[in-house]
Amino acid sequence: MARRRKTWRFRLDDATTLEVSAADGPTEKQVRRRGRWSLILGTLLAALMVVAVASADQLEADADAAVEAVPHGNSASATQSAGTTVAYDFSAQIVNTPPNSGASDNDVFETAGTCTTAPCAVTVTITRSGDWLASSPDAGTPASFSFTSYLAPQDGTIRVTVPSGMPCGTTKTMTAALSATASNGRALSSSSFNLSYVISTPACAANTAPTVDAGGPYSGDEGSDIGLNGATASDGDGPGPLSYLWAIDSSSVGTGSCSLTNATSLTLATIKCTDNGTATVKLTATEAGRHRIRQR
Amino acid sequence: MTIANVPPTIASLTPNVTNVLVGQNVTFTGSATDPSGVDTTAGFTWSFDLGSGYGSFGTSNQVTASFATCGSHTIDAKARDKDLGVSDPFTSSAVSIFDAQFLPPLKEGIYNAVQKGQVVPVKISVGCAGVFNSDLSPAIQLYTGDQAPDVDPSDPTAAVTESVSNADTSGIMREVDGQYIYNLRVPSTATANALFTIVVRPFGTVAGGSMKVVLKIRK
Repeated sequence: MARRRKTWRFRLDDATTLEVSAADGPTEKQVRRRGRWSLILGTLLAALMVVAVASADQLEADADAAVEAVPHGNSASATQSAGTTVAYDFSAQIVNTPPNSGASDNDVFETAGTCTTAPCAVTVTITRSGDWLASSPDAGTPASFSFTSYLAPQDGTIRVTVPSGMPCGTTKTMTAALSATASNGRALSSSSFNLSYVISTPACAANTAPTVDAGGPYSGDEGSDIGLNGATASDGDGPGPLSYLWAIDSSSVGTGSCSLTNATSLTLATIKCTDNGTATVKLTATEAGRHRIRQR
Repeated sequence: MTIANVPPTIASLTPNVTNVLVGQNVTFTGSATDPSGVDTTAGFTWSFDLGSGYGSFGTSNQVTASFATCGSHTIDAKARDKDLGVSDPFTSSAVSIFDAQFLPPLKEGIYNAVQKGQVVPVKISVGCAGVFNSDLSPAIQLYTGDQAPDVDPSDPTAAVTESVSNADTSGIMREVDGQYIYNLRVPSTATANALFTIVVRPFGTVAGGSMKVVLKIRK
């Protein structure tokens, strides 16, 4: 059957003519033939998609494989002095209980060195967390493990350093997380495991408060600065420095009043009263973070 | 601790005039400080020694004294705070005391007979122990009646101190040869037996003291 062409002409202006032409559409026979081919191609494409889905679902999770770690050596919970570095040994392994055989149970490792789907390897990485790990200089040895068999545990060490400024009687908790990833894409039933360490610094000894001597007796004139000269009799047992504070405990100076200058200085404080009379001053020493004692 | 009272300190004891006639009142005013603001606010009491010993403490910081002899004179004072703290004695600024008298033809203490319209030479001397006090500008006024020497200069009875000398400044005596002089004309309208008072203030002010002579118009 001969094909016909359709042509449209448009006059744009006196000099220009646009001509557009198109072929005729298919014949009825051609349409029926093309419809059969389209059905065949669609059926084949659907079949390929089903196959692909079935292939992805084939690496199901290993229902009885997990990563574990067994601490040994130093206790996971101990009392350590500030500044001490402690090494915590552990054994990491892939447990596969029971080690079945056969391809149908989705084991990562059937037996040592074998697996149902290559490549057969599991990488275990260690991620540490905890409120004092930041001060630990050692990231752990090794930082990751590679397993090609579930039968052979591998040893590792986590080192932590108790911060030198960590006060006595303080407890810190550290966690090291082991995360397992199978190189063949098969998931382990449990792909993470945590090692937990608790370290406490020794209990604090009973505090002994500092003692101070306010000095005196003092005397002076109204309207004039009277120097106060305190002294530290005992600085207690705390690690921090002492701070001092003078205060007017009482005064009887008629209708006048008294005021202090440099009240936080042990030896440079002064008191001035606007009228004659008597006054009592009090010196307080405070040990940083500890107790306080007062002497008048 | 014990805070002691500090006595006040006298800062000044100042007379209201520095040159004054013998017997003329001089008022001294004292001021004091204290390191205690409370004491200062409460105020001080004062005791003065005018030459015969300290008197009792009183609340006034002023005292009036007069001096019977010419020369330089001072007084002493003490201040006391509310806590009975007494200051050190303080000596006032000096006051210069002078003698002054009318010179002839006028005399003090009598009625000086004059004619109405007469020109009267008013002469005074001011000094001490024979030493003339120069460079003064004594004020002179004529009042009707027999007035007290300390009559108010603005008293309405004051008459114009008429002078007949071109050398005179109206109301101000001039210094001539160790004395002060003013040629005063007695009012020509004065009636017989009328009294007039000539008041002279040697230091130009009332506070410095005044002296007077009385004129009586002849019949």
